Amino acid sequence: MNEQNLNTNQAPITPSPVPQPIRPKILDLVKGVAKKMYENKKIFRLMIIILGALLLVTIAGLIFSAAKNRGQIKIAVSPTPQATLQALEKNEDENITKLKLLKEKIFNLDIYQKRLSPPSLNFDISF
Amino acid sequence: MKKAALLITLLGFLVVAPKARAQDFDSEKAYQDYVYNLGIYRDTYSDYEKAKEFYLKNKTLTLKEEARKKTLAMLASRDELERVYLSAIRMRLLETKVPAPDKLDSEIEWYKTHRQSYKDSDPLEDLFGKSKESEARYKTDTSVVIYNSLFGITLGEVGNLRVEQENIHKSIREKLDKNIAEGKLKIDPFNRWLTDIDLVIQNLKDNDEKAKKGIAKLYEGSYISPLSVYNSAVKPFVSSTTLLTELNSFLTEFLTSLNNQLP
Repeated sequence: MNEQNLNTNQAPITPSPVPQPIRPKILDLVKGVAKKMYENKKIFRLMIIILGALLLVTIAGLIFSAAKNRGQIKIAVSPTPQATLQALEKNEDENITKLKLLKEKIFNLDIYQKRLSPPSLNFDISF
Repeated sequence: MKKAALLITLLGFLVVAPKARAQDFDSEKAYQDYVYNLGIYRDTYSDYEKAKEFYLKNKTLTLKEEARKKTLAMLASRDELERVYLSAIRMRLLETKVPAPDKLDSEIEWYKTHRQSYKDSDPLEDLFGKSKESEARYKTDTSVVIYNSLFGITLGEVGNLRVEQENIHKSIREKLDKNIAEGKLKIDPFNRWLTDIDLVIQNLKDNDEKAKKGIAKLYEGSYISPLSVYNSAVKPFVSSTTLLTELNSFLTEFLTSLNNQLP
């Protein structure tokens, strides 16, 4: 009986707070967000569809670009003349070099825009 | 939460979409697209002609149906060709840094919509009617927009070449003034040369104005055809080419002489 009284008078033992590691906290947070998203079926499905589509497009892009590159004959492109570099090499005035390039452009002017002239179309088609 | 997820998705698309769309589409690619569609139109037109000929020689229901199908394909490719051609012009205008005529975009849109109006089940009579719509549109609106745009491209190209040479002219002038102030050079004969160069630039500007007046006739309505207006409007630019070459050689000569006289 006495023992019982003694026990009831004792102050309850409270556990000292144990510092929780940060990593599990972040994991819990992520899990919580994922759970919430999963619970919200509409958003979850939408996200899955969008991410899936993006993944497919990326994979298709990688496959087709690789296939395209394999099929193409690589044409060596001659380097475009660099105005300033040439000028430096020949110790020439930069403006002279610019003028030379402009002269070429003037020579190639297509005043009547023949390259872009309208296609000839036939509108008289009834029979 | 929902809003955040939607926002992230939207942002993701905004980042990915422009990259996917850009694909370095320039005027050259637009032109190649046009050439490709021109080929398709020519093929479909040739098929249409053959089918029409067969049907007219032997008027059976089967051959009429075949001719209808070929006519439909040809008309759809004709509208598509117009749309792609106008887009190629638009890209060229963009690269020349010339504002596109107001109606260019609406013309592109018209052909896009009109092409969609063709239905697989359309009878021949309907197809002929829809073809007439395209014809009327081309004659009244499209051709005017086309020639106005082509004029804009030439005006822009000639103008850009003039401005680029004017900038060089300005820098030479600054160099000359500096050397004269420092006593390294005499103004004679450069002052007279500068007057000659200024005159060439002025003539180029006059040609631009003359040409602009010429193309304005497109909207006056008193012409035989938009092509004839365009051809006469562009004529001053032929002389501009000579003037641009002259300006180029004057500036080169000026600069060479200036450099040679400097100690």
